[in-house]
Amino acid sequence: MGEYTGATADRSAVAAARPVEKWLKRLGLLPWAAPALLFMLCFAFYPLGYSLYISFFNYSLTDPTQAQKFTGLANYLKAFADPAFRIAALNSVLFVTLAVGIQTVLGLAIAVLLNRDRPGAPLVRTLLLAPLTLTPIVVALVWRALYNADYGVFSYYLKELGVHIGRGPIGEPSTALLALVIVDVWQWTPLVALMLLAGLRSQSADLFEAAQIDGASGWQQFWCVALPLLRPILIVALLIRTMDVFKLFDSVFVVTGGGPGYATEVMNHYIFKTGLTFFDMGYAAAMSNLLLVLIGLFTAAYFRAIGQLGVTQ
Amino acid sequence: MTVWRATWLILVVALVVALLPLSSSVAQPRPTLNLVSMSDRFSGALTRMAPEFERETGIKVNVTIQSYAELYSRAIADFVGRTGGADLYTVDIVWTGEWGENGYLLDLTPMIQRDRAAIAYDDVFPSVWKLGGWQGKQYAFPLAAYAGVLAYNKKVLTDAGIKPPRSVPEFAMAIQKLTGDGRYGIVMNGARGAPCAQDWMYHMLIHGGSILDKEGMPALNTPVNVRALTFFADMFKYAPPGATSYAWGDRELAFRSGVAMMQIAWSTGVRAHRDPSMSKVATISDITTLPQAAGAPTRYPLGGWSIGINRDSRNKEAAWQFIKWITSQRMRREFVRLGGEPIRRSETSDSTLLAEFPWFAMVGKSFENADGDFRPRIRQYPRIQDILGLEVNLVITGQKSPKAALDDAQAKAMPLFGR
Repeated sequence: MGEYTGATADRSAVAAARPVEKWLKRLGLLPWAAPALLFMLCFAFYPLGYSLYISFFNYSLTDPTQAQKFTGLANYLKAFADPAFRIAALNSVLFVTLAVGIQTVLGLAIAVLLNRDRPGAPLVRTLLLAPLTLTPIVVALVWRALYNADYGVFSYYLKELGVHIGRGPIGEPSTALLALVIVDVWQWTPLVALMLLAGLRSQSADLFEAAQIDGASGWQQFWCVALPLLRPILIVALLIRTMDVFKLFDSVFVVTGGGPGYATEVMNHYIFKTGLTFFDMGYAAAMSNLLLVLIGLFTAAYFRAIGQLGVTQ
Repeated sequence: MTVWRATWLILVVALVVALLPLSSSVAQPRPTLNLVSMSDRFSGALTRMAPEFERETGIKVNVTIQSYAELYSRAIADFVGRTGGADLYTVDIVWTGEWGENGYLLDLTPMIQRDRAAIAYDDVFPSVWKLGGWQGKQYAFPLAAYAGVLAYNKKVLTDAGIKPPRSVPEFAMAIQKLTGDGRYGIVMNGARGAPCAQDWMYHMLIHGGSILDKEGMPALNTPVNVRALTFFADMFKYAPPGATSYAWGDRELAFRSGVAMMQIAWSTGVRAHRDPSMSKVATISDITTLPQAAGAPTRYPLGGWSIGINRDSRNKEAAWQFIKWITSQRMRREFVRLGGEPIRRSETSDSTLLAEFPWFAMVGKSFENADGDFRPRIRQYPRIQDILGLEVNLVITGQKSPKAALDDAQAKAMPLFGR
C-alpha cells in the first residue's frame, strides 16, 4: 500500500515537473548560458557597438561644447590618410610577424628539448614560468634599464664584444623595434613552449614506436608524426600570441614612447594617445575598429596558411 | 512654586542650548575628502599631513597618488562624466587653461578674495599664481612651484676654471670643454614625446623663442626657434650617447652619478642632487639661473602644481578649508620640509628653511622673473607638445633638419587652431 502510494506520489511529482521540463527543453541551454550571455552583452557587445557608433562622430571628450557631430566614414578615411597611423599599422604587422615567428620556432625547440626526460628538466620547466609571472610593465622597466646605452648591462656586453652600439639598442631607429621584439620574445616564448610541451606530452608513444619500426628517423618522426598532431595546439598558440602582440602597449609606452621618431610606433600605442591623452574619441574608436579588423584578417590568414600546411603533410 | 518652575524651565533651556552644537554635529557628520595627487615629491607631504588636518578639523582626507598620465585620464573621466569621484585634484600648470576653460574646476577667485588676508595673498610670488590661474580667474591654488635652473657639478667646473655660464655662448663653450675622459658636458632628455619636447622648450626660452606669437597662434618655425633647435641637437654630441632615449629619471641619474656635468632641470630635483644616498655629487653640485642668449628677455621657466576643487564635489567648503590649511603660512614650513616646494616669498627667505635648503634663495630669484607660459597653458598644449615631441626627436636622431622639423610641426599645429 505504502509502495503503491509512493509510486503515485512520484508520478504526480513527475507530472508536475513536466511543464517545467518541457519549458527547459524548449529553451535548451539558454537558461544556463543566460548569465554568461548577459555578461557578454554588457561588457563585450555593448562597448563594441558603442565604439562602432562613436566612430562615425567627431567627438572630443575635452571639447567644452561636448558637441558630437556625425561625420560618417570621415574618421576611417582620416586613418587611411594619416601617415602616423599607416606607419603604426606597418610597424604592428612587422612586430607581429617577427615576434610570433621567433616565439613559435623557439617555443617549439624548447618544447621538443624538454619533452625528453633529461636531468634538470623539471627545474627548467619551472624556471620557464618566471617571465610569465611578471607584469609587462615591470618587464618593460627592467629592459629599459638593461638597454640603457650608458649604464645598461646589455649595452655593456655589446661594447665588450666590440659591437658599436651608437645611441644604444633603443636609441637607434634601425634597432629599436627589434629591441622591443626581444623583450616580447623573452617574456612570451615560455608560454608557447609550455603549450606545445603539453601537446607533445599528450601524444601516444605507440605512434612513435610504430614509426620507428617502419624505419623513420628521429627527424622524420618529429616532422611527419609529432608536428601534424601538434597542429591544433600550434594554431591555438599562434592565435593567442598574434592577438596579444597586436595589442602591444606596455613595452612601447615604457621603453621607447614610440620613438626614436616613428620607429616603434604601433597601433595600440597610437590609439591610446589619441583616445586617452587627447580624448579624440571618435577617431580613436575608428582606429580601434580598424585594429580589430586587422587582427581578424591576420588571424584568418594564419588559419588558412596553417590549414594548408596541414593538408600537404 | 512659581520660582521653582521658572528655575526648572531655565535649566532645561540652558541644557538644550548647551546640547545643540552636539546634536548638530551628530546630525551633520564631518565629510571625507578625496584628493587625487600626482606622484611627485610633494605627494608624500600631502599623505603625511592629511591626518594632522583630520585631528584639527575632524575632516578626513583620503589621498590617492597616481602617475601623471593616470591622474590626467582619471580626472578627465571624472569631470566629463560629472561623477564627483574626487573633491580635490592636483593640477599641472599646463592643464590650467584646458581645465579652466572647460569649467572642470571650481573658480576659487571669490573665496580667495574673501579670505585674502587669511591666506596671506601677497606673500605668494606673483608669477606663481599662474599655477592654477587662467584668464583672470584662479581655478586652483599654487601648491608646489618649480623653477627651471641650471644644475652643475661645481667641483669639475671650478677645477676646469669655468664659471657657471651666464650667456648661451659661454654655455656652449663650457659644455664642450667639460666633455671628455668618460664624462659629458651636459645631459638632456631625448626620448620621443614630452621628455624631449619639454627639454627643448627650456632651450627655446633661453634663446628668446616662444611657441605662440603675440596673437596666440602657433609660431614654431621662427628663425629663433630653429636656432634653438639647432643648438639643442648640436649639444647632444656632448651628452651621453644614450641621451636620445632619456627621460627625466635617466637625465637625473646621469647628473647625480657624476657622468654629466650640467643639466637644465626643475628645482624640485635639487634635494636628490644633495642627498648622498642618491647622489655621487651631493657635496659638489650647485644650481644657478639659466644662461640667456644676447638680446633675449630675462625669463626663467616656471612649472609646478596647484590644487583645485572639482566643480562636482559635494564638499566644496571642506575642500576649500583643506586648501587654505595646506597652503597657509603656518603649515607651509612642514609641507616644504616633507617634500613640497616653495610658493611664498617667506619660504625662500626664511632663515630656518634656508639653513636646510640653501638653494631656495636662488629659486626665489628665479620666481621673480619666471615665465609660466613658456609651455603655453592653452587647451591645445598637449597636442603641440606631442607634435614637438616627435619632430624634435627626429632632429636629434639625425632623421630631419631643424628647419624641416619645425616647418612640419607648424603645419601640424595650425589645424588645431582652426587654420
